[in-house]
Amino acid sequence: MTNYTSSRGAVYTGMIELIGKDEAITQNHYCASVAVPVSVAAMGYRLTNVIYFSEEDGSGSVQTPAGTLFLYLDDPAIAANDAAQGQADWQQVIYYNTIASASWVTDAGGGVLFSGVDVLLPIPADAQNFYASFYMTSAAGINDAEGDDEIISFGLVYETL
Amino acid sequence: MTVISSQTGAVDTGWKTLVSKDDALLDGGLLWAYGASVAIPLTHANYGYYVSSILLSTGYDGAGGGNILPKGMLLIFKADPTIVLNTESLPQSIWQLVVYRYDNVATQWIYDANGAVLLINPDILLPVPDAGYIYYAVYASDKIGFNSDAADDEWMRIKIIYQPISGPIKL
Repeated sequence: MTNYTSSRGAVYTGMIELIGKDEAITQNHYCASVAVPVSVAAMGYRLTNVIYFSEEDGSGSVQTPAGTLFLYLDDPAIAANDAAQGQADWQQVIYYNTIASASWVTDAGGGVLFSGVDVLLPIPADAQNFYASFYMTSAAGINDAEGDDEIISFGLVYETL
Repeated sequence: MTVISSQTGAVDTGWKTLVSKDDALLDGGLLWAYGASVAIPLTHANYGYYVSSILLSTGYDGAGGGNILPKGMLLIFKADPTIVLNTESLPQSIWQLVVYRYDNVATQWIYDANGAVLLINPDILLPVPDAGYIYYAVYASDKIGFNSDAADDEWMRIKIIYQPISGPIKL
């Protein structure tokens, strides 16, 4: 469904680092939660695109992780490689986006994965930031070898309502 | 479909309890049963609602029980169906109140040891409900018992993200 509303155009968050080059993540674990600053909106957001980026700055390889990106209304304070988030953190989840390794498009220099969505998001708890974490389900560890500088980032495109 | 309307904003109902930690849903060996219906206020609309997302969540309080990941069916009604816990079938008149239905399987849940969520994207319009701004929903679970042990504190919750339609729509 296409909705024409009184929105104020499309906004891009820019790339937000989800897994840093010094952050080791293994299968079925979370990356540390990060803030996702958004424009102040009077009445909410319409999320249209989630874009993922993969890069390698060391001697590792361009990673193509599978897993689920969670968006939260408030900071879940998840630490790198946590196996579970807290019971209260589950209640802050407002959206999730699950991706497969086969959906990445890569070459030797990097990779990208595009996910088109169409969901409304309410105003977050502090009216300025959503928070995000990625739960990785694929087997290949990220930054699990000496010299690895593997980085996973993401960006959101949204309309303010 | 292209919808041109005067929709405004995104409203979060907040979490509403579908199965409380004291509800023994499916207790007594039932294979299918409904949880008690609950009211969900939807506000700020004169002409209806665009429903973007429905989130279901299951979990447990403290050490009382564990994750329940049920297969089931969510029903939304336009008026109070007054369903009580562990009802096995709905009367014909109640089926006439259904405005939305969603079936899920157990593998759709995203979970870890402490909780689970399931995201539904209905992408539908709903009329203003009969009883003012009150909405009702119920969940039926299959073969998995909530709070089947007295010490369990397992629950299921629901929230809806929607846009009130404050003016006429053109389809």
